[in-house]
Amino acid sequence: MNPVRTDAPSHPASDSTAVQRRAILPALNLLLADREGALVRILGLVERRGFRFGAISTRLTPRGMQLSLTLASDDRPADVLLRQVARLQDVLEAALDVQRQPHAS
Amino acid sequence: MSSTAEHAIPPAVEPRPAAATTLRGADALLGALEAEGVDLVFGYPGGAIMPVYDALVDSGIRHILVRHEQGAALAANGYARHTGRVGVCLATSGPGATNLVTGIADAFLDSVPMVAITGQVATTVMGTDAFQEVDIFGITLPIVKHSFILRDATRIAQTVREAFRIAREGRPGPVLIDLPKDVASAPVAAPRFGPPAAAAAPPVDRTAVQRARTLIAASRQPVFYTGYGAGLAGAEDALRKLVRDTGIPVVSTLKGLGGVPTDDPQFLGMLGMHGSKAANLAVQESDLLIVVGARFDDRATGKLAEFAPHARVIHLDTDGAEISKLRYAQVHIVGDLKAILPQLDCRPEIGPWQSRCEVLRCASQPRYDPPGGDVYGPGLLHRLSELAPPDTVVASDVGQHQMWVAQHCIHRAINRHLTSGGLGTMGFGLPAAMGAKLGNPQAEVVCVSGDGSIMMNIQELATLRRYGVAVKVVLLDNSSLGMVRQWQELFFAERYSEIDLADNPDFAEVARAFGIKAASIEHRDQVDAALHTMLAADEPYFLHVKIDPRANVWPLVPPNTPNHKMMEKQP
Repeated sequence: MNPVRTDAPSHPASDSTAVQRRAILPALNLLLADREGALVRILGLVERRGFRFGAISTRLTPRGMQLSLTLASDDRPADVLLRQVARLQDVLEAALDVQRQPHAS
Repeated sequence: MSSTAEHAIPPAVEPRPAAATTLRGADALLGALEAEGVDLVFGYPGGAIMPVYDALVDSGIRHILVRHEQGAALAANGYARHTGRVGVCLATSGPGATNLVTGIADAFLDSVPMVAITGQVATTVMGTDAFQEVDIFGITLPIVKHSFILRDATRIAQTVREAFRIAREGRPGPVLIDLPKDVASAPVAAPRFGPPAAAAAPPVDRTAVQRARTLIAASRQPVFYTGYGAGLAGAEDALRKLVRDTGIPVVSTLKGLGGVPTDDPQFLGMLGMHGSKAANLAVQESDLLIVVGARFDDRATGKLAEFAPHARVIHLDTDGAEISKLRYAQVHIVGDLKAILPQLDCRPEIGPWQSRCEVLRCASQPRYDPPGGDVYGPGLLHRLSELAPPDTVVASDVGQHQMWVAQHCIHRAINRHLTSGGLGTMGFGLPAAMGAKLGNPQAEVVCVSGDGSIMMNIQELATLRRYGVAVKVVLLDNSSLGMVRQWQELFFAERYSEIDLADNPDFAEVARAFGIKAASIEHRDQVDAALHTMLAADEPYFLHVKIDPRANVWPLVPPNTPNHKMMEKQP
């Protein structure tokens, strides 16, 4: 299944070219409990903690919802975000991957 | 047919069926609360929560009717902070629920175990902008540890159990349960309740313990930096023993005050913006910070990049998400502080450092004898600490008086100093004191407030009166929003903007109008007698104290400044 690529939100204070120049972006790979509010709770937390989304994909599986978030953010440590996400009750599994983007267009 | 005629129908016509055969969702909810040991809830009724209020009539749970839902949330919050049990508040949908938000956010930022239950419009009309419908689940998403919308009455008992487990385990926090009216009214089978859920503590990382011991043993200028986490973990005894055995000096955050008694010779004071000179200088000079249940809050660190510049960090916390969030920790141990602390006992050679810290401590002892006959706020609070029983609970509001309470009262236990540290909620003090007193009626509970803060929840004087909750209120009245005034004086070129409260009401008369005994004083020589009278009262009491509006909180670390560059009172 192809991930749905969303355009990075335009943010007046951010230097989007700096983000796009980065070839390596961290990605959160999560397994969420299939519960009301789980997805919006995660997405809200990631933004409030100072990260922007590069790409988002979700897939419903028998074990729960698989969520992959590519982060477009330079200045905050992603490992802290991983622990902040992992402590949520809805998060069953959490991993941080550093993946190489084929193109940063 | 008139309502009078309706009332004339004999009750025998519609006999109330036996409760066991007609349990509703609301009954199951209250049964589940009782199974968790809840005997007290704070709330305010309204349309969507009415099934629960109906069920309360037959319940053993005591309900305290507050006069504003924010009072309910903050009373549950204060109850939880003092007793360590999960506080429960109850409100209806819409405005009832939104009025809880500040109290929930306060509990979130200060890690207070709380369960907030809100009524909701029926599931059939949720999402249609029904009367008093708001998405309280959505509104509170960023300020709860977890939340539920209870759409299925058969899941009520299980959800309540889950909510309480989440609220109290690990790093505690608030949990919201949104209960639609039709679910609360739906018939349910009698649930079975087992004993409350308990989580097993994770094992302590032995390698990290060994690395921490190595760092401590090699340090020459170590400092304990302790926070509220020590109290949440019930680790005060373990902390005190470790402090005594290692001989390492201690500083505390605002909310950690009392972890080590503030009159202990190894205690250097609170660190940070309004910390003591001794505490801030010791931290800035230290070569090792042992952080016990604290989180490098900006009010504690000052300019983060220059905070404790020579120190390595050992960070002990139950919440792994706090590790290296703001300051890198060379060693971290995540888990139960009560289990971790005893494993760190080792004896570094720190004789010269202890002497240095003792010099700093002696040099930063406050004085309580400024010239003039006005009441000196810090002096009054210090005197209050001396006169009140040693196990008195002090609940503070937010502002200058809050910092004076932190600096000048003697703190001997973390759960006896209730203060809104994270959110800084004006209006916290009175309801929090009320919650603490209702949770522990034997305790002497004093609320220290200001003339700005008291007005934010002054309606709770009616609740004190109604239930005879013998909270003592000390109102330090400088006829202004003092902390804002202080900042305008120091950092905004004395351009005073919207801080004047010279037209305050006569607060003692206000208290009397609520049916509460009150007195007013304005001279220093009245303080002792007034405090004695207040402490001797066995009912709610309100002491209104006029103080000098020009008094400021010292020392002060200006914003974005390292902690050793403190401003002190001008001579």
